[in-house]
Amino acid sequence: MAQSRYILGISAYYHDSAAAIIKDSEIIAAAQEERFSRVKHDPRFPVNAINYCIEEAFIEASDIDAVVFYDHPILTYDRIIKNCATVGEHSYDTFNAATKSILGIKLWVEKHVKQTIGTVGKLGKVLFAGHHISHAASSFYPSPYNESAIVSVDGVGEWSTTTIAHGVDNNIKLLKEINYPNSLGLLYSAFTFYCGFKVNSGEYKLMGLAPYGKPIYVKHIYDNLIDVKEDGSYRLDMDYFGYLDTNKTTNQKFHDLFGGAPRQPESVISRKEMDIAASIQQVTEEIFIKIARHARKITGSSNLCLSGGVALNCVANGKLLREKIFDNIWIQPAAGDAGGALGACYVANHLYYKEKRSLPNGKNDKQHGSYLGPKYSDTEIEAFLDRNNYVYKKYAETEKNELLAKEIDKGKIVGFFAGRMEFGPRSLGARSIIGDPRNAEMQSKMNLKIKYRESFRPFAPAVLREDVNKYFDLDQDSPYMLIVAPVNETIRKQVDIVTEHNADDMIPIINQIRSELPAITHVDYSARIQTVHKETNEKFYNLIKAFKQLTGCSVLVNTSFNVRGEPIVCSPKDAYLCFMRTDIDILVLENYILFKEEQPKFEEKENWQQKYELD
Amino acid sequence: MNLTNTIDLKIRKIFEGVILTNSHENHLNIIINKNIDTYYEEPQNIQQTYFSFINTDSVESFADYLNEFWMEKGSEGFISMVDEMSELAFLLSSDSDTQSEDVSQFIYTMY
Amino acid sequence: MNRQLFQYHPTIGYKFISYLKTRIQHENGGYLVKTNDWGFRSEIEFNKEKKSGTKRILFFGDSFTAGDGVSNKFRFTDIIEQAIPGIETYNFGLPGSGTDQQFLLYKDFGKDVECDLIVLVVLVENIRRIKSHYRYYFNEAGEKQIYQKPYFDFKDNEFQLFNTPVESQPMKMEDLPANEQEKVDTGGRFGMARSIVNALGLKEITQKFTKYQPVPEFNTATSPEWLVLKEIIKLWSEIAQAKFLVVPLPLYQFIEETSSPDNYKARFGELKSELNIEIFDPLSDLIAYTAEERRNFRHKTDVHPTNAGHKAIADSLSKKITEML
Repeated sequence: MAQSRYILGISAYYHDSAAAIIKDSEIIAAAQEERFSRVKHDPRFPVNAINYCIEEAFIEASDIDAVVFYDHPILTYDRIIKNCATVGEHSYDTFNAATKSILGIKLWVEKHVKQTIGTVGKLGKVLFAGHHISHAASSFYPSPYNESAIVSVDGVGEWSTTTIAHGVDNNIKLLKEINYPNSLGLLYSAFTFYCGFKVNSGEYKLMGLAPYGKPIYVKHIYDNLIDVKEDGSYRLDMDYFGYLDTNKTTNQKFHDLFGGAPRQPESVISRKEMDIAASIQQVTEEIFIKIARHARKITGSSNLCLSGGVALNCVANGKLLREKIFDNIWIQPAAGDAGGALGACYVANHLYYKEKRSLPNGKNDKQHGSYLGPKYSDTEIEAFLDRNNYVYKKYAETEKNELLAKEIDKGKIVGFFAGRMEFGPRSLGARSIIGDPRNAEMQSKMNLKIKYRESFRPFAPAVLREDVNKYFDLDQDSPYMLIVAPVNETIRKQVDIVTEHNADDMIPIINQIRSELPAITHVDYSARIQTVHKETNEKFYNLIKAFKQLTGCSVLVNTSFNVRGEPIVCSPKDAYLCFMRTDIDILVLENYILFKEEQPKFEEKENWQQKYELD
Repeated sequence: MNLTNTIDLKIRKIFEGVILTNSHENHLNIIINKNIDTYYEEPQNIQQTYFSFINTDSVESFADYLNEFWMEKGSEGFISMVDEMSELAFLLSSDSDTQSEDVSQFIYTMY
Repeated sequence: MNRQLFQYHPTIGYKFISYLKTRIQHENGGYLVKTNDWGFRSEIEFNKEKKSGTKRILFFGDSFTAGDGVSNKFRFTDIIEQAIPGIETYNFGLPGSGTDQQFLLYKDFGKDVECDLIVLVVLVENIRRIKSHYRYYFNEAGEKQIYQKPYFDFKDNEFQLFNTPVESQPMKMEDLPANEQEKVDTGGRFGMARSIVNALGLKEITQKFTKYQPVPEFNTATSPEWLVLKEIIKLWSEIAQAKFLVVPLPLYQFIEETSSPDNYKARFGELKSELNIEIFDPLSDLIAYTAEERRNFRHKTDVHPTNAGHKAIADSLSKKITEML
């Protein structure tokens, strides 16, 4: 019998470092470094994530066949050098910093791998996979399709910012690309910064803010910032952007175009920001859809695979779906740089080793629900609880779900920790905070007392797959919370339209009851849906089922198990800390339940609110 | 002269030798043209776009690698200082080494 | 370290959590740890009843036996199992433990296990643990914490067990009475001085110049530590359900010949005559290797045996074990 082939993929040094490991084309494990290091978007070499991946495979490091890095540092250096040469003398600081970073650190992946695991595997050298081919691979190979158009859109990777490729069997061919400095991702990031959010993490907030505004700046954007062709290709007017010669995305001309300086972080969000958010969101969706149409045209495929940071824009994904350009769409849940680690594994497996591809057997995809991170056994959890004298009770599965359903129905908020941690930015019921979506106060309570985040941000519904169309205008799988769809008319409630459109203050708008599930219904009656499947997360499925049996409602609010600025919890210890620092009422660690009021007095040496930098 | 100064001088020298000597032309696609139908480009079908190895075995081999890389990309204007770049890369690499002889932190990891 | 490895145990102080399957980051690149139902590092479950036709050996010891720094399969116990046909080895090694805790562990877990040979591996440095009442351990955040440990001592002409059941929660040094503060094992006789020397990279040179004696507790036959250790071994040998072999495992200073082993060898020699038990010291086999090979028996900074070190120990012990079986 042929020996199994293990491939370790690494993504590092930019943001969201991660590692992944595959065995004979099957994903064994994948995780972001931030979950272990507890540093949000940790860019450092992912020593902990690598260790975890090898732990899950439970092999000696010397048994790894190949180690693959998801980016080519010299191709990136080439781009920076040419950027600097175009700018001239003023680019010295950029060149100095980039040279130290690339030639001093990013070039030496092989050394860092050896220092971390003592070997670079049987191949003897680290293989470097291209950034965008890694993105493409991360969406095509785990997808259910044998043939597919592949679109990757992100900020920038080496030179590319947007690529269209075609995947057939085990091959991927890049067909078209748009290169730096023209970037839809960087355009969105420029507006993220301008609206007072953090680049590389605040894009999600901008998307959440968009429905509060009116897209009155769309023409302004098209007239000044970007020229878009019918095929979705585009070019930015670099006179308005700062990133060629500074470390800022925008410049004074951009600010002047939108009537003044960027909003200061944490200051009051005004109607201007809401309208700008609505405008750039609409522009992004329109370009995204045009690119997809072109991908369909040049590949002839009825399937689409999506990846790259822009593919996390679930509002755009939902619009794309409803355009029905493709029969099927599959989106890599770790669409950003972290997913590049997984894609790099596949590049090595199918393109370097030319391994034949096996399609998923009777399942939707090969991503395993994206539950690819660590799991903690009952013995580990009990040892942790006992060691700290925490008060807990162990329950049988059914009894536990019945108890939790009752508590959630009473308005209690639950920290839910079960099974393998999710890979990617979304919590999907393995490391989640959950609550009752029917509860009108749930959104503000969760935002302000649990997450300590901006009150406008909506929460997502987790719904039993078989019941999704009862609540939403969607009747397909959305297991990765990557599709936004409207709440059904039948459960909507009318709101005061006059208040909606004139308000500069968001609070009255937020507090409007829009549906029978107010906690998950966004201002535009949309919801970011997670369909929950028994096959991939039975524990979460059974909990929602128990809630349905008690209340008739098969939806729960599902938000990530963390506070603002903190990485999603990974271990029982992380979960316990988050539980005690917030107004979460009940903590579930697998079959162990802890009630807040029964816990010993909680004291911390450090001020955790200073520890986590606001995102 | 300390290592930091040496590194900064080398970077300055490369900046002048490579960046400034190539700064008379635009190396980026930043011209908006309303008269064309598409801005898509054909992919740079060089090996690095898919997968490749980087030879960092020695200063000489990395310089050769850089030379070949820019020749293949048709960027001959950037090869004039590959030797200096390679030397700099090895210098920067050694500068970032942090060796510690302290007692192993891995002994008796308890609780 | 992402996972907790040990859980509280009222008699021994702590033990491995059952069913662990983890990888520990290490200067050698990392190693795999798997524990079984009973909470010992093993690829197999332990059973009290022996399979017919198989000879079974139980090993007891500290981290050198448990295999800190190497994966289960590279430990000397596992190599011996592969090397000698028809045997199975049960490794009851517990990192950070003293022979006193190992004796308690034997009584709790080992004494009812059918076997043909019991091997007690005594890392000679760990004689200091015998007299300590508390130990420093690092938690997963890398913080030092003091935990109580059980210990034996002579009191009122009786050999008694103290600190039992063991306190489950960590303690603060300042909360201990002054006389008890002296009983906290800080990780080595010259713990602080050693870490400074190590930090300066002068360890080996310094040891040669100072004629470093790492275990002065063996200097005389009447040192309190030696008397306790001797008593534990005596008691253990008396209740052992099978043949009993004591293996004094030498420190690297002895293997690399930077310190003289004469004192500890003298003590174990006396023990052999007094108690009439089998003692096997692998030192003579280990020093037969070249200096370079011997240096590679331990890691760069971690003094635990490398794969090569475990192999050398296994090769040496296999001969004695085969002879005794």
